Amino acid sequence: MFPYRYRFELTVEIDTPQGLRKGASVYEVWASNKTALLPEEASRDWGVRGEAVAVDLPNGQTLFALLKTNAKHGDLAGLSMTALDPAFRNDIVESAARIASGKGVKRQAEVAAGDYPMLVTFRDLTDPASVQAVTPTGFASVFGPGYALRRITVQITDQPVTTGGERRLPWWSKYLDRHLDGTSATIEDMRDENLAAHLSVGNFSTEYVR
Amino acid sequence: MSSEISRNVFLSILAVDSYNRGYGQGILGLSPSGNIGNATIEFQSRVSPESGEVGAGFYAIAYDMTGVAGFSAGQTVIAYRGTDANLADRCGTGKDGCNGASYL
Repeated sequence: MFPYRYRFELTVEIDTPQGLRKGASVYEVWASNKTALLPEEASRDWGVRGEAVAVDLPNGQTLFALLKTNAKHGDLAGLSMTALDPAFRNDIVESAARIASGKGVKRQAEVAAGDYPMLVTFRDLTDPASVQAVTPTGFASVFGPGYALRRITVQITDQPVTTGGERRLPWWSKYLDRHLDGTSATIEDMRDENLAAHLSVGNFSTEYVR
Repeated sequence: MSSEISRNVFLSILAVDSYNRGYGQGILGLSPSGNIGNATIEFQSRVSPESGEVGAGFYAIAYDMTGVAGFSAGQTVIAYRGTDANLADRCGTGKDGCNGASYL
């Protein structure tokens, strides 16, 4: 079956001592049903293309909103469906069809805090292992007084998928098969509490490997 | 309940768990780390959307079975999606090709 497709722009707004700073990225979501030949196979297929939102801050650091979330759905497809489609009830393909048609869905919406993408920054952008999580309410503790997350929004768009983000991560080509701590990306050690052991280039972009 | 039955039931639970972790999960919101009873999640296979593993529908998760009845301390169990039946002999070993996968 041909997949349903739609694009949306994710915008992150941050209050800083020097005023509002914004960053945005355009993603494409696709979803379709598929025939399962074996009982173990999934009957639905879906995915997201795009890159992490990057917001350059006055203190020289950059905040990244990754392609994964800590919410129930775990990815930006679920984030966009939850925000834009009032009828979304975990029915990925049906929701993609509604959003693609534009009927009965919102054109733009604010993302609820519980659905935010994972937010990270680097203490040293040249060192991938220096990645640290930034909680939605912890901007001041990471970046300093006067820093706060204002809001995150989504808006349906027909703009091209955002590319070119690799210029922000100078080491990306050396980490295609590694986690940010240098360990192999083939397996993930779930006992390791270090964030860098669980993130890879794939969490920042689907376009690096194209 | 004998330890042999408990061991098989626990293995069945871990087999089902491989469909509820990682990507394309049957149950949303489960933590990728932690425990099932005394079995501790150790490793999972790559879950990046652009990876070959996800493209092939592959997913595996490894558990440390220390403290679980019927298993040795330090023993590892790896659960992966799919069947271990011989599909060329679908009514032979495992019989999944005939009867599907049952967990009890």
